[in-house]
Amino acid sequence: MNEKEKKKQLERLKQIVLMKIATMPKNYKLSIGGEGSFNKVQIAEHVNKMDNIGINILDMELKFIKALSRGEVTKTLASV
Amino acid sequence: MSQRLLITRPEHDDTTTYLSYYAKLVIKYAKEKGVLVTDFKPGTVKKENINKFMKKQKPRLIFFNGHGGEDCIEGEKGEIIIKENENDELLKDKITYARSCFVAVSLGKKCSTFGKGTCFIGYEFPFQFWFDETRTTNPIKDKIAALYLKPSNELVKYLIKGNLTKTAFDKSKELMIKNMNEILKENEPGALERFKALWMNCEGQRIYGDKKTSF
Repeated sequence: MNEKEKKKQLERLKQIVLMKIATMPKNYKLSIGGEGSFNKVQIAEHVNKMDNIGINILDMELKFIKALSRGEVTKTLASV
Repeated sequence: MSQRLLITRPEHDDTTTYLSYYAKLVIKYAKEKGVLVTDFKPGTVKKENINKFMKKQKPRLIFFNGHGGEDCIEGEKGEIIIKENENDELLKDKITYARSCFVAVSLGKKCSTFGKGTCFIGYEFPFQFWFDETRTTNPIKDKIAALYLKPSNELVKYLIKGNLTKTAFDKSKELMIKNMNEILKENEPGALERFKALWMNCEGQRIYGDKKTSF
């Protein structure tokens, strides 16, 4: 994948995260250990800024999407 | 070795406050079961206190609550209380459960070199949870956070009951998966995001060392 494609993929991932986060109730916050806790507005800010917290959030999303596409999530759910 | 449970409960931000409140439920349960509990309450989770206590009292089961890193566990406000290759020998012959981010990456793995009787359970990813900001004065009543924190409480309860470390580890994962299924059944906004956080905790939970030891 060249730089242009990587940038495009990253932008798509950002949009997915921002769209999903927008569905969260405004009084909900996500605690991410030592990084702090964030409501949907703050999460969107970090993702847009692409700071360390934003990158970690994108990284988690990517891990999740990959696990979904590999069938790992379904396998986990069916295991109990 | 005395059948003693050591619990650390720093409280200096939303995350540690939630962990601390839920850890209190484990303390209550342990006391009901007749376990000797030493509770390092908020304000007391300092390296010096913890190390001194661990050397002298040698608790068999340790339940750390708080932040962490790949090679360390933190106490009050970022103070490192256990660090790999510095004082990690304190975890030898102990069952340790660290409800902390990333601790399984390196510190946990190191514990697998300590031989029989030592077990470490922790997380390879950030331990994460959603909570309801309107419930922060009474986290126990926060039904959103409970979906994440109760399965991890149960892990310690299974250990207190005398289950093997691997059994407690597996049972807590089963509870996480059950809660994931519950979230999916809801028709609530943001369900997929809440599901994802629980899935990350489940996937990131690791066990190292003696999987057949017990409290």
